[in-house]
Amino acid sequence: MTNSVRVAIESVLFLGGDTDATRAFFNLVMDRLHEGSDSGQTVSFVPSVDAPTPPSGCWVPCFGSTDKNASAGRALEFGADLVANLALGGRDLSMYSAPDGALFVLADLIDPKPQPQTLGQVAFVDLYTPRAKEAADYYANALSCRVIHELKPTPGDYRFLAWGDEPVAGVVDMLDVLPESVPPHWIPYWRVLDLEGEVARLSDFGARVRVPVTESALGPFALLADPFGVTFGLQTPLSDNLLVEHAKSRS
Amino acid sequence: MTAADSDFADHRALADALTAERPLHALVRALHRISSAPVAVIDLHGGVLVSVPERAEWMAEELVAVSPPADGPVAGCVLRSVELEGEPVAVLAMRGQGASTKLLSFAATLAGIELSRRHAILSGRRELLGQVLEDVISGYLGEQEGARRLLDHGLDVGKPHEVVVGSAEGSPRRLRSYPWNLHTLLTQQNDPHLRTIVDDRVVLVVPEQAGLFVARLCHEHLASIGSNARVGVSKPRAGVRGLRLGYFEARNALAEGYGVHVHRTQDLPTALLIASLEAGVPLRDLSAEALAPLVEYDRKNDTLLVDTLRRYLAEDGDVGATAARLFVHRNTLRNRLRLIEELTGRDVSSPSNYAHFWLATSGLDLHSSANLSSLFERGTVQDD
Repeated sequence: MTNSVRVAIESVLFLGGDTDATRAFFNLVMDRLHEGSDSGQTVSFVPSVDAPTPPSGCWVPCFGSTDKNASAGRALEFGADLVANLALGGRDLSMYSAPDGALFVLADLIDPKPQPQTLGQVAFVDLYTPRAKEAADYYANALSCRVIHELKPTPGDYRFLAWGDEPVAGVVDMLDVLPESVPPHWIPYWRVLDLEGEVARLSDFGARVRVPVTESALGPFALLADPFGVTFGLQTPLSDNLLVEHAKSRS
Repeated sequence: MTAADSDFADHRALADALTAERPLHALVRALHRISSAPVAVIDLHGGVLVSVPERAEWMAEELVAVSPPADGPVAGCVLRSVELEGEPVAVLAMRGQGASTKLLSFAATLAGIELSRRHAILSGRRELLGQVLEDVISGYLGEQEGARRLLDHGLDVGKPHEVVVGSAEGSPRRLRSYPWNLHTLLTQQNDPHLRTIVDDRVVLVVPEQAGLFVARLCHEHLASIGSNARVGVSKPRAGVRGLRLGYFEARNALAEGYGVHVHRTQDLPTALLIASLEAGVPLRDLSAEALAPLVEYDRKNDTLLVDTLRRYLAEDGDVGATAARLFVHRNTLRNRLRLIEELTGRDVSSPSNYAHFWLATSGLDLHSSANLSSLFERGTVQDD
């Protein structure tokens, strides 16, 4: 479902855990990649809010909306709970707990134009949840998106949300790859050129490779855990293009 | 086809994998094809190097918790140690019992051979880098030539870097043969950061802010290959001179002993001591000469004048504190100090003689620059 309210992934927040140490690590992740380009401010670190988070912290996506109030109303109407209001960088953000318990943030969309594919920035986010279909339907309703399903081979049973032809977020059936005991969680993907080189570089800083460089219908990717155990991903600009192509082909 | 034929064909399929473009991946794929079971190679930190199927779920930390792995299954997997020069560096894991344990052992041996081959190539590059870094440290290379030679190895000294130096007591051969990051071996690229061995110590040059992350991992590695693992980290420095200074700062911090230590500005005397040792100054001989009258007197009269002097300096010339530490009366201490002054012809309370005696007693203890921790253990360098 798509309407005139435009929604896009705008940034990610790291919530809880050892925010200073995690910030230091992700500065290293992003620093070299940003050389010669505008780094932007796509990652924020928030010590804690009144919401349950794992001890090592978790990633939370921030979706920008051209009509935040309307998106917030829909988020609540379809079953989310408002858990915190935050002020970050002079902006008001609202954090919600979705029906499956995963957290997400809504903000005003600053720049409604599609963003350039900058290396070192977060390119995409995937939600890993045991209730993939319900979750995809929920976000489609809350974020005024449509659900695109059945891409193979993919990391598990895969759906992704698109606003028009623009990909917004992916939803992975977590039970295909992880035990049920793992709570639903978001994984942000940093955009890099040399996947294997970056995997080696980041493992030199203490990252642990969970999924080595792997081909998929949406381009190659790798999953790593930061030195504190929180998972993040790497992908290449090819994934940006493939996601758009798939979204267009399913319009 | 007999069972023996089939066994031979399976072994042949595994061996042939080593001629593929990506041998380790081909080997794991071949084993997966034979066993129909998920197979992975996992490094000893729990990082997955290769997995077939790629998204198979591995309880990686649990699988590598015991090294070398147990004979019996762990978390539903059969494990075999992958060794590099006789050192376990990874495990080959196969879920279930899809292939004979003999075949799994054979595959683990092949994986070790492939990693050893790649490690040998990388070690050669590190040797070359080590020579450049030694020339930089010893001051043989000027700013321009040093910068050019380091750039050939991928280091732009125009940007600030931190130097990490680590050591452990044990075999220097193990220090060289230990693979620091198996993911680097798989990429067949250079180390992501400059890493080499200088004077039986591992030296890394990493971007600003990365020093502590790398130092902690380095310490973990060193602790697994030797005792008394210690790692020092410099301040961020740019330029060839900055790199040289960073090396001495890291060496200085390393001298603080077991664990990870960051350079502190006030450790200048020790930094100078280290620099003189690195430059080949015969500090121990000079020290022995300076303290010869005291050493000789102690030997003939069974006294403790050198120890007394050492403790007096460690207590910053505080007679009361020194007497208490030595369990002697203050007057006894004063008599000993007077005797030291008579024998050496130097007033122990004057600042210049104080520096002379500090260098002499420190230098006397140093058989090499490896045991600088004695300076800190004796408290001659003050903590924050």
